[in-house]
Amino acid sequence: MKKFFVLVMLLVVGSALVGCQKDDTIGFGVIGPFTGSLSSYGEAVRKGVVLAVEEINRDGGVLGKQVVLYDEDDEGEGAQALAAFGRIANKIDVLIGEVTSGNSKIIAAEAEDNHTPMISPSATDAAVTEDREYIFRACFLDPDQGIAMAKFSAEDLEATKVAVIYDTSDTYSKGVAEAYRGEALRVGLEVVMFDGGFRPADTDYSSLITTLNGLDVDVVFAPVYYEQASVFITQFRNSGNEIPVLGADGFDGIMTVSGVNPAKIDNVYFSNHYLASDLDNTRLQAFITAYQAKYEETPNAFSALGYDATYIAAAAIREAGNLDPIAIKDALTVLTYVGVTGSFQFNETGNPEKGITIVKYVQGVMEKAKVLE
Amino acid sequence: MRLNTIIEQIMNGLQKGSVYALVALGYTMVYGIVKLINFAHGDFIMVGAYTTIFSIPLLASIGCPLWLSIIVAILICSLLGILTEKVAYKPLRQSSRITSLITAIAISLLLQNLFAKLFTSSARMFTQVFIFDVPTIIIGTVKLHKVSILTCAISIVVMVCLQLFVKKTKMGKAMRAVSENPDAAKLMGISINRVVSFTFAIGAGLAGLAAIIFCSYSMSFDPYVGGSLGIKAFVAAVLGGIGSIPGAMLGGFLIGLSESMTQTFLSSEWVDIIVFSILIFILLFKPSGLMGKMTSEKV
Amino acid sequence: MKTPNRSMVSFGNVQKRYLLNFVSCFVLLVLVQVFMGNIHGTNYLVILTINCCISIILAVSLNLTTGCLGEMVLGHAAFMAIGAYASAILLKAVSMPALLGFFLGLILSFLMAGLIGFLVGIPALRLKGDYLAIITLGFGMIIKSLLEVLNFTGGAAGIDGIPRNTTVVLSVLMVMVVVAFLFTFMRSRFGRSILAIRENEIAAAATGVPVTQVKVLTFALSAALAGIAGALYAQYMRSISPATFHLDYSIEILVIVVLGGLGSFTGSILAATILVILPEFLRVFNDYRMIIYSVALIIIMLKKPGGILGRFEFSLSKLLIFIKTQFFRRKVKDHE
Repeated sequence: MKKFFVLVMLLVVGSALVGCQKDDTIGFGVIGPFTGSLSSYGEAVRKGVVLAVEEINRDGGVLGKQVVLYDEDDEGEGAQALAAFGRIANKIDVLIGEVTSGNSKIIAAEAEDNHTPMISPSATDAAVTEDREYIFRACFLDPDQGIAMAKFSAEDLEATKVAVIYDTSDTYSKGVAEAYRGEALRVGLEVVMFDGGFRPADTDYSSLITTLNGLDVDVVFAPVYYEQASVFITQFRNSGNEIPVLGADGFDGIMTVSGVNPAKIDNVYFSNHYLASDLDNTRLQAFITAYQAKYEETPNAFSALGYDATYIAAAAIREAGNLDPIAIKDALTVLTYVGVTGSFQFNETGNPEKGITIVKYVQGVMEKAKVLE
Repeated sequence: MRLNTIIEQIMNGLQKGSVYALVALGYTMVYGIVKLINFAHGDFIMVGAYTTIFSIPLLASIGCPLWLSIIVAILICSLLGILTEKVAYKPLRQSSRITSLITAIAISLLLQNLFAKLFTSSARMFTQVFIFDVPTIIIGTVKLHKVSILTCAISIVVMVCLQLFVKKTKMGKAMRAVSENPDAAKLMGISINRVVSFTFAIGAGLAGLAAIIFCSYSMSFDPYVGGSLGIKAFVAAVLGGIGSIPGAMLGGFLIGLSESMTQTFLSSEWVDIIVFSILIFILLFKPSGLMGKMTSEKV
Repeated sequence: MKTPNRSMVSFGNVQKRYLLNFVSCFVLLVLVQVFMGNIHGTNYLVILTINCCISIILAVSLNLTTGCLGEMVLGHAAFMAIGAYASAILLKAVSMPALLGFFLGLILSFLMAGLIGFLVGIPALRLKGDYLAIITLGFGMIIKSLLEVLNFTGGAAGIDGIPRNTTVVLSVLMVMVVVAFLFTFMRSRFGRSILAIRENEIAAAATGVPVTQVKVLTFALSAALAGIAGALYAQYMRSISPATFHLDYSIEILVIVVLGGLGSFTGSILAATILVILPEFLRVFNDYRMIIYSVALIIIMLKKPGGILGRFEFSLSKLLIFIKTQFFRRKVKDHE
């Protein structure tokens, strides 16, 4: 028993000391829920990052050095996320992560202390980057999308009464919903319903839909993720209700859900980073082609954000000219970058100014509805 | 709120409740005989759902009618139940309750993660509504979905059959005997192993049936659906009185109704809180559940 | 009739034993301070150690009700949550120096979690066995839902920006305090009555043990200690949200306790440590880790239902006596 302990201690200490980075490579880290119930999102991000790293290395690396990717799974748990960071902190120059807001906040506090530049591809909670110098993100903040969709409802869809439903247990969903409500009230819309009707693990929305059908509203705003959205929209349409269903970038990927019926996904609008079928965006099309070739599946916003976050990190290092964390951080703060998910303009808040594309699903096919700069 | 909306919401609640009821039946049957909380029961449903979705194209390719997939799901789940019992629960019959519980938890984890590894944890939609693809009945201004009525009817029919089975047939009597006093039952020549296997087969088979109904109105599942469904159904079984077949039915419908009523009249955020509060409230005043029997401990 | 637990039989000078344990704890603490106390910045070993400490406190506190009292509890993570939020809210509301903040947060967490545990225990412990398990599960779910719904707990986003007052030394210290307390507590008269209830509740009642009171107080104490783990967690992670404290976490802790051996604190400590450290080594197998874990769990339950250590308790003095007697035996053998 004692021997076992000594061995364990040695191994732990050993592995902490071993693996200090070699000088001729650059270390990128990616931490996320690659296993467990959130793995569809974590894996999407990871695949985007892996593809980006492959391409970067194939094109000669960064500053002449090859990029080594350290991917660490945290199963969605905060304590494991922190441990994952601890494991790779002294091997990486930049961290891409985490995927969820909750764990991003935990790692961000640590990365800030440790002076590791961090770019979260998908954490939307404002607190992740607030008052921090080294932390950035590649996605929208919750308010951005909520406000945009509220304006869209009022101006473009000419709605007067709206219903807002969200998932109480999800900061993204609630954040966007609250932002929508705030803006809706400001532009004179009547918010008839504001309810946390989406509960995780319960995809029977019949009670919710019965209530909605009894209301007199012009649009329904439901900022949830695509797995719930696909079911909700299908059931909603099955109940005979044809009013527009609105969402945020979580809707990107509805058509990738196995078994979804495209005919049902109709008259749906959502705010997103890009329009996948936009043939003018050659960079986007190249990404989609490469992703499909490598993984045999269509990428969604998570993959695209992971991909962009990686390229942003590389761009910042090139701008900095060296691997000094302060230089990288400074470069990121003023970085302008055009990626797959739009054009980024960073500032001291660590949040990018990005354009929003409002996309419409027509019988399962995406069309451009509006572009906001 | 208009009357027809309320009626519709009641139907929604009953529809949800019917799945809880079917699953609760499985829990209660197993518990009644073996005194084991089969934590993996909810995951049997998940297995049933995946079986259905994979057997449909298979059946289509060999030209069989699609509704046979229900039979396939029930069979596979029953087999899984018997297998689980033989491998993991039988050796622990003499051990403490908590050991069996942990083993059940382990099986639940195993099923979830095995399926997540094999089929990814992405959600799949189930839109094959072969039998249930029926229009709604409209009585006056009330829309009654045939799905709701059908699912409730199936659940009630199953419960009645089960109750008759337990009360009238020889095997049913054997099950009741083992539940009352396993040692005496053994002395009377009843094979405990057969009874237990049979119980698990029925319980798991019910899960297979529940899977179809679950899929028809929930429309989507992933490897982790069993967890939450299992908990709700377990709560339903306890609420109704664990070990009582009508109790499981009652508990299931009660939970389903509470959920839909809370969503209608209060707010969706309070659903879990209300449901569990109801459970706690009832347990405090009738500790053995609504239809359970008080068993006094002998010194 | 079960034989009395060996660790309950006291032999040797009690004061000498206490001194021995105290000194060895002090030495360990000094070692921790020397090797890890002054590390600044992110350090993998520090993170692992603190994660271990939190797990250990959760495991031993659950062991108190599930192992020693024999009542199955399925909502333990909720009490950790209460402790975490209590500390978090206090430290965000009032800023104070690190050490003071740490201990005040700890005390508040302990009291709040204990209070809620007491309130939950009063109705819950009237039920037995599986019904108790389900009611504790229900309370756990209610508490998690409330944390998401209520405004002052920050909703689903939780609370962010908590000062990091937890250090490695403080964590190890708290583990020692909690474990030492539990060992001593179980030796007391109250502790014995807990064991008596586990062995045979009716007989215990017949000999005058106030069963309900003991049960409720034990449950409350167990909750309070989980609150301490929560305080440590909040002041280390710096950001907490309801998502962490789900039912699966409660089940994880229960599995740790059962694996280690119901009733054995040493077992809980060992199992908690292994289950925090082992995944770090098996990262290569991450895809299959949970599958391997569940299969291993089934095998262990089948082969060794009492858990790895059963009811065995480690005792430093007994270990020394054992070494001494072995040494003497060898000496005698050499002389022959």
